[in-house]
Amino acid sequence: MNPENGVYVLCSEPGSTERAVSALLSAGMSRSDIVVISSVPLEQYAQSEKVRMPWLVFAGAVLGGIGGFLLASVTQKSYPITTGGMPVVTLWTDGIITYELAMLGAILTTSVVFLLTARLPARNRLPCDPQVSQGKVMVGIASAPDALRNNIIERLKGIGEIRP
Amino acid sequence: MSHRWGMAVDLDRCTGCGACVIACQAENNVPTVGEQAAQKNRLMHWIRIERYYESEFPNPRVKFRPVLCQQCDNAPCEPVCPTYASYHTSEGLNGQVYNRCIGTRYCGNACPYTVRTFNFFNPVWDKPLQLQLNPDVSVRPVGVMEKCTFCVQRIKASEIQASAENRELREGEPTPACVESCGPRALVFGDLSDPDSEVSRLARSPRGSMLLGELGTKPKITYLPRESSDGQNR
Amino acid sequence: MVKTADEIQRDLLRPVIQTPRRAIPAMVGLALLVLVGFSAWMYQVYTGIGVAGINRPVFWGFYITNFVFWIGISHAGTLISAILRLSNANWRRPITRCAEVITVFALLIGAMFPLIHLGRPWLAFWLAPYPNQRGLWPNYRSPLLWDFFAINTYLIGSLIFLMLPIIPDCALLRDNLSGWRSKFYAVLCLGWRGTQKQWRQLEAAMHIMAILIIPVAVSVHSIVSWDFAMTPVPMWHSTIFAPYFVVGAIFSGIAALIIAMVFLRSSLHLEEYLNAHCFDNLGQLLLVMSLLWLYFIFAERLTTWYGNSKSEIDVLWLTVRGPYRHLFWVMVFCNFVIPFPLLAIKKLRTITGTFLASVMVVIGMWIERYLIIVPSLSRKFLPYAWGTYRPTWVEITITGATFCTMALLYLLFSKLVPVVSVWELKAGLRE
Repeated sequence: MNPENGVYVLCSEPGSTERAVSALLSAGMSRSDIVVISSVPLEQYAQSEKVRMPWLVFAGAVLGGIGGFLLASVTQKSYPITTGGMPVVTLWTDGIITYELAMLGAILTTSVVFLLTARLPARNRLPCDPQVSQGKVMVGIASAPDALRNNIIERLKGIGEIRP
Repeated sequence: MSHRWGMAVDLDRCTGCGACVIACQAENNVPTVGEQAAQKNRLMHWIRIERYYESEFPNPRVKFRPVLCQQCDNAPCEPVCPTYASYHTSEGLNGQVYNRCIGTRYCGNACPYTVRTFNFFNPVWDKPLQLQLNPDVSVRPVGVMEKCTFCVQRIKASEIQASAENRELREGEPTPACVESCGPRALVFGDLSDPDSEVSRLARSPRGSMLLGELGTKPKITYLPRESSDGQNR
Repeated sequence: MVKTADEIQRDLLRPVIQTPRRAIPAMVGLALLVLVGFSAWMYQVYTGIGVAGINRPVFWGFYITNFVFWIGISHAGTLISAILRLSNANWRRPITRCAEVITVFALLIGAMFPLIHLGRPWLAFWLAPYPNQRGLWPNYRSPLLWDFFAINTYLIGSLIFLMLPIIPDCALLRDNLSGWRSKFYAVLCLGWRGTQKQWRQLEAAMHIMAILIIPVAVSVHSIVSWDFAMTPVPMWHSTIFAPYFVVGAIFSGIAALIIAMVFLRSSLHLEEYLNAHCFDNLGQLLLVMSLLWLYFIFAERLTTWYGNSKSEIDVLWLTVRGPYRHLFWVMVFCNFVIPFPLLAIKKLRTITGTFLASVMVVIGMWIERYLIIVPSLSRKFLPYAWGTYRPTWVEITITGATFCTMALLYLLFSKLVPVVSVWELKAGLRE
């Protein structure tokens, strides 16, 4: 994917974002191809994204928990040392280690899944415009097929500055 | 045969002479901490004589109680050590592995008898006193917890000697330094798993009681309080 | 006065873009004090732990007090930030990052103290499970091991919880700065663009982290309390310790947050963001925690007094009537008597009022940790093992240096990253 293939428009007025999105839709682009870049989350565009995170996090917690339990109990059995009249494998205390490592597993899974799905660290196929930080919204297509390119630029012309 | 080392202390015989304290210090290379550290509550005696007065002069009714590591079966000091420096041996002793100790001092807090002592500094023996150090016992560096081991070096030496001579351990061997030095023979040491040993006999005595036994630590030292002439245990 | 998004951005990025003039001497001064504390620690490592005031039987003193205190302070961030995020309270927006930062730095400082208090700190790595030639693993029955895992999990969790919302603000800084600073933030923001997909994943991750971090925080201070409760020491061996400590932690954490916010307000000119409304709400939270704290103290001491067990009653009277009574009553005044009217009466619940109450609470909670640890150890079971404790200059110096460390880290952070979350405030405008 070539970043130069992208077509974007910088929308400054309220409402122009919606016009840009409809313009792209009417040009034949699918909803999932349209990229909306903003400095704050825009709920009406963000809601369509799917999030599989909770299940993966749960799986991470289970893995972490199993790891914790094995760490505590297997090492206790491998070099059995009696302390304080307690059994060699103490399930109550192993439970605490299990819990902590389960939570650690969930936490690490959350961050890894986030980085992967948000495609961070990014290889920057998307444009970066400082004006987005001033509150403007950039709407466009990451890679426009050459045939439709001029059509799209035509439709977006009135809405704001075209990028690139 | 697996042993279970225990002790009985006959408080009727204890005169509070303190020979056991000196003998232990000599045998186990226990550092003398000096006057300043003593004032700061940093004495390192592995066994101490607790002296109690029951009433005033002219009849103060002094009582002595030697307190040393009780080698508890349910030792509270053992599970709390993060590095297994404090653990329970197969012969029922509470072992202290100096090399594993990183000095958290958790065991010292957990011990209800406060028999554990800590090396706050590197111990120093002014020359030529370092010549008196017992070569069978390691010298502990700064940051390491230590306590009475029932003279485990003597126990091990007796066991090795007995197995080399292809025999069982005899009554009276091994003998920790405190037991050996006790003139009135108030301290009795032996194998609790042998029902005929003197220590087992004394442990079964109706006079016998455990120090802080109500805490559930299951100590292995039985104290036999003194009997006065009218038959009362006072 | 409602600000526009641009004004918000300008105000909040200003401390990062320009350095206030007094910041440099402040940083240098604090750094020097931290260095003094560090030297005291090195002196202790070189000479031996005996230069501290600990003895037999009081084997734990100032260092463990500080450990529990700082880990307690670290409960500010998560519980404010996480709970307020989950309940969608809008007034949280300016304070979440301040709170999360306190957590991370307080944890870092608190986690230093187990190292500082060890007799042989160069062997501290033995608490980590790693295969070695002795075949020996750490003892998972020991609460210190639970501490190791819990604090590490909490530290990693709160770091991630802090860093996730910083990413879009780093992107903001990348766009508003130039030269090497812009490149620095470009690296830090990991190439964040702000596509809706990224926003969605970020918000999902933050939501899940907020849910996860709360049970972790609760477990951390429960485990710290079990360092004490798992021993038979009189007045330590109490089942109420876990919730008692967690409540105390949240209590001291909120107070620390309020103090930090007051300093940030004045030094970074954030008066309109960290405004009276925030302090009013935090003050009410602090009031609730003060009442909860009183409840737990009462419940614990009532049970002890009623049970009348010899060694426990001795420790109780030692604290309430004996040599520790001055500290005890100062603590009660600082934690309840003074904060209660300041926080309960609306007229007094101003920024100054909550600040005063918070300072009292921080002092009172430090004393509370000290009174939990030292009197019990000084009066265990056998009279020949009773003792006293007096801190030495080494312990006092290191304690003071940790407060300076916290201030210094906070100052450095406020220079690097906007201390109020810009994108969250801007997003809040849209709602």
